[in-house]
Amino acid sequence: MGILEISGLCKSFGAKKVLEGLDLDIPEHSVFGFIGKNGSGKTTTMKLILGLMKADAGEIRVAGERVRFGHTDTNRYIGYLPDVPEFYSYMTAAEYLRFCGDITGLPEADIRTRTAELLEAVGLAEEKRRIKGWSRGMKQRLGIAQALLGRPRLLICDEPTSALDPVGRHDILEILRGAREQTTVLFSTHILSDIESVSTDAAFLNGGRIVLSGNIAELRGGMGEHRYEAVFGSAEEAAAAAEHFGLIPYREKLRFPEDRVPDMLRYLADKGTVPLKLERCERSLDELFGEVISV
Amino acid sequence: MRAFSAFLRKELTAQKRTGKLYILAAAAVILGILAPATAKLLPKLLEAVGTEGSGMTITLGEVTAFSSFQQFFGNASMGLIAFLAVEAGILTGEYRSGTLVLALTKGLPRSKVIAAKTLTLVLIWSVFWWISFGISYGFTAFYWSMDTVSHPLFAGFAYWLFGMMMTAVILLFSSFSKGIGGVVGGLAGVYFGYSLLGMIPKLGKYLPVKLTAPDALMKGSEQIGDILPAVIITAAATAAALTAAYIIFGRRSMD
Amino acid sequence: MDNITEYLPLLIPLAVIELALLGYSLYHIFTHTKYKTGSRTVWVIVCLVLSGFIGPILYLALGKEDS
Repeated sequence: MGILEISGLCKSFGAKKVLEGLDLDIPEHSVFGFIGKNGSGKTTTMKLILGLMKADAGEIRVAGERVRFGHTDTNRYIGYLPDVPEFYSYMTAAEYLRFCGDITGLPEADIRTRTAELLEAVGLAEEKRRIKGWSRGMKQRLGIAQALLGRPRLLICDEPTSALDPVGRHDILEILRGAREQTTVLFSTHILSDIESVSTDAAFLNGGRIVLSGNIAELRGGMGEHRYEAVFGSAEEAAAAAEHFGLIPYREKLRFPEDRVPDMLRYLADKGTVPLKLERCERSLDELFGEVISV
Repeated sequence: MRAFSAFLRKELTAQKRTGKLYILAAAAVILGILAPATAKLLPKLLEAVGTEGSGMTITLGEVTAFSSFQQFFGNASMGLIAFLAVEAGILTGEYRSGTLVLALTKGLPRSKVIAAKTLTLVLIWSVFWWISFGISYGFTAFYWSMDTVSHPLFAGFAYWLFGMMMTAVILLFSSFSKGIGGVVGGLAGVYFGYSLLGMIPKLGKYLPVKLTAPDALMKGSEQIGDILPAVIITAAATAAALTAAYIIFGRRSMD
Repeated sequence: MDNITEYLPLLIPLAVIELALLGYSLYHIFTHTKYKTGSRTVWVIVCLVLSGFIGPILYLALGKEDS
């Protein structure tokens, strides 16, 4: 059983359909990247998971418990970091975390140790000023601290890196990577390199549905059809080889599945054709995303 | 219970640290002093103007405790407006900034949010009003005999109740408005709606706005029984608005 | 004004609070550049013209940024 299971989720705003039957299953202790273009429904999905909006159809379960709109019970398993976190600006970071601990119902002693621990971890331990006047990056760090305070089983981050400078972004990604030991992370992004650097799993959202999801390594490997690529000296050579194997070449390149590798080597030896390059292809997520959304 | 008290404490901290508490305290004291001061000084000033030169004489009724209270309730709307203006954004400000969403996603029930905000407003309005009324009452009793005014305390209570209803209106309109504009519009709409209804002669005595004009009661031409219908209706309207706010807020989409 | 002392209990607190409110509002206006509504000029005029206490309270309620 996954920590988060979503089935057949639908949501529209007026005539605009945002989600049309979204299914998602997130395994525990994964760092799950949720990819989609701007406006594809990532934030909507998160707000539905948090019970902040009402779904038109479908079911969401967090740790096996059903999420009900307007109720906050399932939120006790969740830590949430919105894209632009805002806090009560008249409080200090420590005061804010204490407030969070109180409304979550953490034990008194726990609040004290967790607050110190987390402020240290996000680099805000020395910051005694009130939140008013803090920079975006500092607020993002406090956002992570408050999200992790109650040791949530699921950490949901909405575009956590979108408005940060490269250093801030790297720091946040490192914190998310580190969080994996204690929790499951679901984070949305439209930046594929974020996913490549920290995720273990990913799902592509397009047209209101998940068009592709799974383990990053498996996704990269693809479905086994295009795993090797030979680059020939000319398009003619490629075309001849393609005909032999019943494949379709692309200019002087030919892609073929792994189980045809011995055949290919034999063919090359027989014909005396020397390819310029013969290699296993790593598909970038970029390429993969391009493929799945153009389907 | 702990979540509720934490949220309530946060509300009170906010009132203090954003300076709202001090603004309202100052307004309450001024409002309280202004009425007896005006009652005491205005005739003297007019006298001074009147006797110099022209020989024109201004005749004024004798200044009594009644005049002071009349002045106080005349000014009271300014105090109520100040309170409403300062507090109208108590809930909508949290949608706008997104701070509420974070509290809700921590598992804080929506009902507790509404309850803590209600209690905060009730506390602040009550303290504001009774400080103001108390100061006015004290000065008036110090300068004049209280024989000339009947039921001043009940008059004070009635106006306080009217303020409670307007407080409930803040919460009601906050429960579905996106911003403070909707709340201010709602407050104005309710006030003018009642004022318009008040023009229908038979209806006047049942309307909440009746509670804001206690002159007849203090003069003795009306008794407590005469304004009791308006008191009951105002209390009922307050309860209804709070219940509606509670229900609507529980179902609203937080986007 | 026959006996000014009779009025002092009313006048002193009133004057103190009004001046304090006016002073604080003007101080706040001049130490900030962003307001919830209106501009610096508008608020200075409002505070001075309605200087009894309405102007400063209007500013503190509607002009002063929450912090």
